[in-house]
Amino acid sequence: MSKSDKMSHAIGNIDDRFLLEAMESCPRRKLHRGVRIFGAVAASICLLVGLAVWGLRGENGFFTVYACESDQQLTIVCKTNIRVAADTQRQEVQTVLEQYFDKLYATMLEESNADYSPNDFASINGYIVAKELVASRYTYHTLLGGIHEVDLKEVTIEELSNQDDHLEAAVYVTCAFSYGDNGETSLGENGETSMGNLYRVTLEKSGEQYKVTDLDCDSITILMAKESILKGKAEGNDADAYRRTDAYFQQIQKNADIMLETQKNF
Amino acid sequence: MEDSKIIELFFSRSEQAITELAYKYGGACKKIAFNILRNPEDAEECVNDAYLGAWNSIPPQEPNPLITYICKITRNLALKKYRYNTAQRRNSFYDMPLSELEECIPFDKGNSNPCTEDDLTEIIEEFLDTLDKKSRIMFVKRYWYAEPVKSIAEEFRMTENHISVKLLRIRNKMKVYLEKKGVVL
Repeated sequence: MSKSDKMSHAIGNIDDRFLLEAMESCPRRKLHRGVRIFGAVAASICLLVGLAVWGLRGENGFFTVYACESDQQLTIVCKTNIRVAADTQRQEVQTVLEQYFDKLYATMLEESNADYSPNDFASINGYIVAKELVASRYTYHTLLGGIHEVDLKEVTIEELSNQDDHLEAAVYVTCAFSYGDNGETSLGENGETSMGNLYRVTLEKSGEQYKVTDLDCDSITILMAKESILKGKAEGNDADAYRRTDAYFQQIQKNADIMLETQKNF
Repeated sequence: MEDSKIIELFFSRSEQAITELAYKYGGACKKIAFNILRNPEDAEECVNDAYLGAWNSIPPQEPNPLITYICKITRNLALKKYRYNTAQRRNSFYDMPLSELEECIPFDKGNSNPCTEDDLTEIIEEFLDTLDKKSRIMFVKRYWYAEPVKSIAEEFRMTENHISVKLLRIRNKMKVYLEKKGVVL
C-alpha cells in the first residue's frame, strides 16, 4: 500500500462528527458537471517516472559489471547484493503466502471443518479474519448449498518490510469460488470476487522458513466486524474481545438461519 | 422514517429496511461512490453492495448515526472498486485527491518507526480540530467525500482557484503538523 493510500485510509476512519459536519453544510451544486480529463496528465507523469526509474536501474546494472574500481562502485555492488537478497527473501515469502492463503481460503469449503482458536494468531485481527471465513462457510451452506471449489487466483506482495524481529507484508489476494447444490455457480465468472482483498500479514522466521503469525484484512465485512467487536475494547480485557468475536459471528450465522426460515415461509 | 425505526426493521429482518435505507440515504451513498468511481454503473453496484453489507451486519451492529455507517461502507467499497479499476487502468479520477494527499506526507528522517493507521487517524482528527470550520469542511469534502474542487467551489461560492489554494494551504499546514508530531508513514 502506498503512503498516500495509507493517508487516505486514515482519513477514511476519522470520527463521525467530522463527516456529519461536512454533510450538514448545505451543498449548492448544479446537477450536471463536466468531468475533467486527467488521463493525459497522469499518463505523462507515469511516463516520466517510468523513464526515471528505468534510467536508474540501468545505471546500477552498469556499475555492477565494472565493480571493484572505486569505493562508490563497491557501494553499488553491495546495494545490488542487498537487492538480490531482498528478491530471494521476497520469493521465499511469496511461496509461504501462497500456501498459507490456499489453506486459509479452504476454510470456506463445504467439506471443511476447520475452526480457529485465539492461539492460532498473534492478535485478535487474525482471529476475526479466520472466524469470518468460518461464518461464510456456514452462510453459504445454509442459504446457497455450500462452497465446493476455491481457486486462488492471485497472491501479490505489494509491500514487504523488515521490522525488528519479523516481516510485514501487504498482500493482495483474489480468489474465485463456486457454490450451489451442484457447484454450478461460479462467482469468478461474473467478476464479483475478482476485486480481492488486501491483507496485512505478519511473518516470523521459524527454523529455516517463514511462518505467518498474524494477519489483518481491509475487507468491508472485516472492517464492520472490527468496528463492532473492538468498540468496547478499552472497557474490557482481551478475553472479552475474543468472546465478543465469537458472539458476533454466531449472530451472523443466526442471521442466515433466520433468512432461511423467512424463505421457507414464503 | 427515523433511523431508529429503520434499525428496528433490520432487527426484525424485514426487507423494508433496505427500501427505507435506500430512500433515506441512497442519494448520499450514490454521490460518494460516484465521486470516487466516476461511473454510474459501478457506483450503483457499490451502493447495492453497501446495502447488502448493512443487511448482513445489522444485527449484531446497531449503528448510530446510521448515515455515517452506511456512507463508510459505501466509501470503502468504492475505494476497493477504484483500486480494481485502476489496476486495470480504467479510471484515474481519484488519483487527484490521492496525489494531493501525497503532499501531506511528512519527510522521513529514517530514525523512527512508521505509525499505525489508527494513530495517524487520531493525529489527523487533532489537526482537523485546529482548523476553522470552513477549512475543516473543505478538507473533509475533498478527501473523505472525494468531491471535485469545482463542486466545493460552487458550494462555497468561490472560484475553483481559490478553493485549490485554500486546500493547498491546509495540506501544507497538515504536513507541518504531522512532522511536528513525529509521524512517519
